[in-house]
Amino acid sequence: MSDPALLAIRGLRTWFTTRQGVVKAVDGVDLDVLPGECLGVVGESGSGKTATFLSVLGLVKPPGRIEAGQIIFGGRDLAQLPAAELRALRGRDIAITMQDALTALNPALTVGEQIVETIRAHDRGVAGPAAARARAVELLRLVGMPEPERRLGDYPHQFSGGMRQRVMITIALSCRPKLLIADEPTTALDVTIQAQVLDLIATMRRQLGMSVVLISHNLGVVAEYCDRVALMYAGQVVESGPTRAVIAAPRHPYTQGLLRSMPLLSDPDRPIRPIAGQVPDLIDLPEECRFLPRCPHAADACRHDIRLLPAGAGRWARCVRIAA
Amino acid sequence: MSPLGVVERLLQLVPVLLGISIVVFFMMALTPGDPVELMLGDARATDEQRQSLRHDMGLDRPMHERFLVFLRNAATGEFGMSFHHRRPVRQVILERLPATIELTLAALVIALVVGIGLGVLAAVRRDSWIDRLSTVTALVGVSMPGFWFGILLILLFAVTLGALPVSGRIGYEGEVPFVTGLLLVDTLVASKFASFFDALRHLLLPAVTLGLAMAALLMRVTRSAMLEALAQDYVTFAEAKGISRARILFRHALKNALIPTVTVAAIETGTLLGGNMIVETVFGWPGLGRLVVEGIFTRNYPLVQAAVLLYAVIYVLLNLCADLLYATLNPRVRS
Ligand SMILES: Nc1ncnc2c1ncn2[C@@H]1O[C@H](COP(=O)(O)OP(=O)(O)OP(=O)(O)O)[C@@H](O)[C@H]1O
Ligand SMILES: [Mg+2]
Repeated sequence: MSDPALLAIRGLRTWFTTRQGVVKAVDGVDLDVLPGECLGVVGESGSGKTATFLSVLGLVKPPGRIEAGQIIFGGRDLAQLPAAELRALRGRDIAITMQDALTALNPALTVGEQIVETIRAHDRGVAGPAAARARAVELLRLVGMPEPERRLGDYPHQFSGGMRQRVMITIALSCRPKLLIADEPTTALDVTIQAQVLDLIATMRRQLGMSVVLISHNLGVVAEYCDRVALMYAGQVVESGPTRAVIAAPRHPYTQGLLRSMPLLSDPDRPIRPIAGQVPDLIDLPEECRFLPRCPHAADACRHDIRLLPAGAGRWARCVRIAA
Repeated sequence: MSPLGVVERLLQLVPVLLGISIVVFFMMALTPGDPVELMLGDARATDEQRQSLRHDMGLDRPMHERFLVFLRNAATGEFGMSFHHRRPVRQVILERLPATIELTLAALVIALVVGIGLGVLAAVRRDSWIDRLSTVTALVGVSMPGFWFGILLILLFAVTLGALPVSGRIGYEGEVPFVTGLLLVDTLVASKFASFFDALRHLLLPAVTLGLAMAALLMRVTRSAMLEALAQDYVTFAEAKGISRARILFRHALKNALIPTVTVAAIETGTLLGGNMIVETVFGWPGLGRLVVEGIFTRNYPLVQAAVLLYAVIYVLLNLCADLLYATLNPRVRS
C-alpha cells in the first residue's frame, strides 16, 4: 500500500443497528484504488461490497452509520467532509452505477432529464439546457445507444436491460469522474450483453483515464477485466493483490476455496468443491478470524482479531499463516 | 388512456345513472310525508284545492307512470317544476350551482396545499415534532365531524373575535353583475376589490371546514408515499449524482409520491360534494347542498331527484378524471 492511491480506505466500519442487533456489514475494511487501475471487488452476497462503496459516497442510510475509519480521496477524508462538499464531489469526482438499473433510474422521469440534470448540477450553469442536452446525446451515442436524440424523451421502462445499464453508465460518466464504482454491472443481463457492457466500461476507462472499481460475484469476470482484486468476506477484505498472482497462488484459505469451487476452462474435468459451511451471521461476531468455522487450517492462533498482513509483492492477506 | 377508453367509460355512465335513478326515485317516493300537505302547511285548503295541487304536481298518477315520466325527463335533462319554487328545477339548480362550485374549489385548493405541503414536510422531517404534530392533527381532522368543527370555527372567529362573517357569501353592498357566478372571479371582473375581499372573508370558514377532512387524508397519503419514494434506489442514485436536495425531494420523490395522492384527491372531491350539504347548512351558504337538504325536508321530489343525478354524474366524471390523472403521472401506465 505504498503507491499514492486515488482512494484509500482505512479501518472502515459501517454498521446497521437493527432490532435483532448490530449488523457489522463493513467491519475494518482496508482498501486502495490506484490511479487509472481497475480494481475487482469480489465476495459472496452480503459480504459488504455495496455497503463499503456507499460509505465512500456518504450514502449509507439509517439505520446504517459509518462508525469508524478514514476514506481518503484527493487528500481529504470523505468520512469527515461537510455534506455540501461531499455532494459537489459525488457524480463529479466519484460516480457509481448501481446494482439494478431498473430500480436506480427514476420511473417517472425521462432518461434525458436524468442525464441532463447530472451534467447541469456540476458545471455551475455554464452549459445551458440546450448545451447539456447536446452533451447527453453525444454521451448516449458514445455508449452505443441507437437514435439517441429520440430516446432522450423515453422513460426507463421503455429500454431493454442492457440499454438501461448503458443509460446508467452514461449518467455516471457524464461529468468525467476520476473514479467509477460499477456495482455488479452485469448481474441482471444475458451473457452476450454482459460482455458488451464490460467492454464498454473498459473502453471508457481508457478514454477518460479514470479508475474503476468493478464489484462482482464472478472471479472469472474480474480475472479478465481487472488489474488487481480484493476479496471480501463477512465485512472484511481477506485478500488483495494483482489479479493474476492472486488467482495463480491464492494465500487466504477463503480465496483458495473460492477458486476450487469454480469450473476452470483450462481443466473442465477438475472436480468442483464448494466451500463447506455457511457465511457467518454478521450480528455479534466474535473477535476472531471470520473464516475460522469454515477453514480447513483452523488453529488456536486464529482465535483473536487478525489484521491484513503483507503477503509478497503488492499482496495482502488476512490470515495468521502468512506471518508464520 | 386512449380516447376510445374515455368514450367507453362515458358509456358505462348510462347503466350507472339508470341504477341511481331507480334508487333515488323509489327512495323519495317511499319516504313517508306528503309534499302536498307540507306545502299547504296549516293553510285551510279545501279537498278540491288539495286535489288540484296534487294533479298539477303529477302525484295523482300511479307510481310506475310517475317513474316513466321521471326517466323521460331525466333523459332530456328536464326535471319539471320544483314543487316549492314553482319554477323549473333546472333553473333553480343552475342558480345555486356556482356557489357550491366556488366553495368546493376553495376547499379543494386548501386541502391540496395544506395536505400535500404538510405531508411532504412530515416525511422529510420524519419523527420530528412537526411530523408528530401533523400526524395528530390529521387524526383529529379525519375523525372530527364537519358540522361540529364548523360551529367551533364560527364561535371562535365570528362570534368571539368578530373577525369573520357568520354566514352568507357576500354583504348586500357587495353585489356584482353575474359573469361566472363565482364571486371571487366576478368581483375581480367588475374591479370591485372591496367586494372581492368581502367574498373571500365569507368563503374562508366554510372552505376550511369543508376541506379539513380531505387535507388530513391527503397529508397521510402524501407522507407515506413520500417516505416510500425516499427509500427507493432511484433516490440513492439521484443523491450519488450530486444533484441538489430540493431537486431530489420535489422532482424525484414528489413526482412519484403524487401518483397516489392525486388519485385519492380526485376521488375525494366527490366526498367534498357530499360534505357541502352539511357545511352549506351550517354556514347559511346559498348553494346546491343546502337546496337539496331543504328539498328533502319539503319532499320536493323533482328537485332532489335532479340534484342527486347531477351529483352522480359529477362523481363518475371525477373517477374518470382520477384514472386519467393516474395515467398522465405514471409513464408506465401511459404506454
Ligand atoms: N438497511 C439495512 N439494514 C440492515 N442490514 C443491512 C442493511 N443494508 C445492508 N445490510 C446488511 O449489510 C450486509 C452487507 O450488505 P451489502 O449490500 O453491502 O452486501 P453485498 O456484498 O453488496 O451483497 P450483494 O452481492 O448481494 O450485493 C448484509 O448482510 C445486509 O444484510
Ligand atoms: Mg451489493
